[in-house]
Amino acid sequence: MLELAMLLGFAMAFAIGANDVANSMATAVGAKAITPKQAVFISGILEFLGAALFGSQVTKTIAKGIVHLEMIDSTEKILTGAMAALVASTVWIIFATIWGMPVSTTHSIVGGMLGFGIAASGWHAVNWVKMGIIALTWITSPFIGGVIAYAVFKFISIAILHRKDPAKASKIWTPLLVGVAFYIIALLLGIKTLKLSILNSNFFGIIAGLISYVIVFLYVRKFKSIDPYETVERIFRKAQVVTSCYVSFSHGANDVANALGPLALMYIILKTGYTSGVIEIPKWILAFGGLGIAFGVALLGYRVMKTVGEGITELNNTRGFSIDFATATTVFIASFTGIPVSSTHTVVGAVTGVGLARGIEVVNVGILKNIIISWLVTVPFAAGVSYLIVVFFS
Amino acid sequence: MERFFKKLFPKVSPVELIERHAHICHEVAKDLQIAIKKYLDGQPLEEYERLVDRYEKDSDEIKTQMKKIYSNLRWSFFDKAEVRKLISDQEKMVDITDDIIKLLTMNQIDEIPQDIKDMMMELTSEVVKSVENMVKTIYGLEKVAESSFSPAEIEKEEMLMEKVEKDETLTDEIGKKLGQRIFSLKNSMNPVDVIFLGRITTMLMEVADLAENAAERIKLLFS
Repeated sequence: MLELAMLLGFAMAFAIGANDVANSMATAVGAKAITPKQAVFISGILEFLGAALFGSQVTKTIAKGIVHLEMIDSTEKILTGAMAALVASTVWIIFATIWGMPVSTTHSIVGGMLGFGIAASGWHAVNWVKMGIIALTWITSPFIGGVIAYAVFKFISIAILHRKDPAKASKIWTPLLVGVAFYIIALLLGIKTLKLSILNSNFFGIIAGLISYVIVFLYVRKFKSIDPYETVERIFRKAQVVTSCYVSFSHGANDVANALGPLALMYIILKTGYTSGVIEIPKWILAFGGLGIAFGVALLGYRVMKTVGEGITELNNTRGFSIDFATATTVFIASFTGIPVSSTHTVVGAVTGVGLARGIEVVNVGILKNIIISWLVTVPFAAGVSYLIVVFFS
Repeated sequence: MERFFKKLFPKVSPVELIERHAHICHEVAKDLQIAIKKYLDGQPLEEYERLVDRYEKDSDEIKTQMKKIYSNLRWSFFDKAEVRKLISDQEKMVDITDDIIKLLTMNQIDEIPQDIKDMMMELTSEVVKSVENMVKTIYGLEKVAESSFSPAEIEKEEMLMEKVEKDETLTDEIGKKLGQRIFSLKNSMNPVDVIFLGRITTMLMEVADLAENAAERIKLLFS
């Protein structure tokens, strides 16, 4: 059974790598900051690192946060349920991909776990408080992504684009924005992965931020073009390489759980028989999921990234940077707190935020409607299928 | 999923469409100048009639494309209603040019006094200049958007708008003088020809007037 679950988990991770990663990297490819080949290379490595270093929190939430496992009377039921959640989620993603619906793998797996909980031990087996928080973040994460993107783009406008010499201003402020990204990554890495104190993590973050500031500052200072705005865009094109890495890292940290949550649960039960108390996700499982995503990106991601990237022609680098920075920060902070959020929907929120700041001409209204429909449909569908599988096999 | 993400952004930027439409106005204005010259030299104009007809068709296509994109677009750089009015002004410019060329093919005047010919060429040249400056203002919209509505870029645009206004004042002056000269021939020239030339003059002035209206409309796009 574990082998089958591993196969399914790997397939799901592979699908995330092949399809979902392209949405996270689309703005960087579309804004010509990186080529589809570079995107494959960057995301292959950083999705793996994000999953391996930061994936445990969200994986724990999926595995054990949604269903009160201690209320389920047999471990067989839990095993069947975890498998059902994985199958239901995979089925829904396949359908949604065929229909071109903007569904989230996160929503699917959460729905799958929900259905399994209800089928296994009734409504009370579901941790509704946690479910409520997760559902709330599905609405708030695109909103937060939008607010951050709006703020970053407004900052770029005021501090750089509206200056008398935008090129000069860009050489001062762009390294700072990159420094902030590194500060956030290092701070959370310090707290979560290196288990440092908040004070020490802050120190670690400031050092990382300062080093990146100096490197970027020295790198961009000689950039020159006839048109000052072209210089600004050239500088941000380089900065967007950093934020696209940031996006990949955050995406790996959050989305690996969609493939691994149920698998990790099954592995722990089968190896230890343990269902209550705090669980630890084995590092190799996270690395296994990361590898699945990396394989998906490497084998099928190129084509998708090329198609998506080439479809976006109206995005320049200042806008792309704002979108990437906002998406990565939102998803990364969500991963830190163990909340599974949809990276795709967060990107849409961030794009909308820049649109609201008059930075880009978007958004196709139909897409927003589709997202809302996907919110309403995904969880009940995945939960329903998962419920039926559990009932059938019980 | 990939289909969904691409749908988020418009296939063609509305600013690019405005620019393409302005480019048509520019091409039409250049053809108008050549057509007037050929008319005054007594040469056939059918080729230009066909050319402007094609531009008119292209202009309609852009308008339709714009309508389609704007009906789906949630956020745009500029007020959608004002952009539509801008496109409408530009379209009228193409239509009037088309009308002028068609009108020219209807009545050939063999003996137009040289000074009227010169004044008419001068007027046409000023009309083309005002259209050119309007087009430059429109091309500047992209820079304004790229700079996130930087006050410096808006100022540059306002300076161009002033130029269009000045051009229009100048065309009015030349047009008025030309009109007076044409009507001074009412006793020596065929009255139909006098009215015909007067009509061509006012239509030329109308093109400059529309260029000014379009430039003024751009001001509203920044608010």
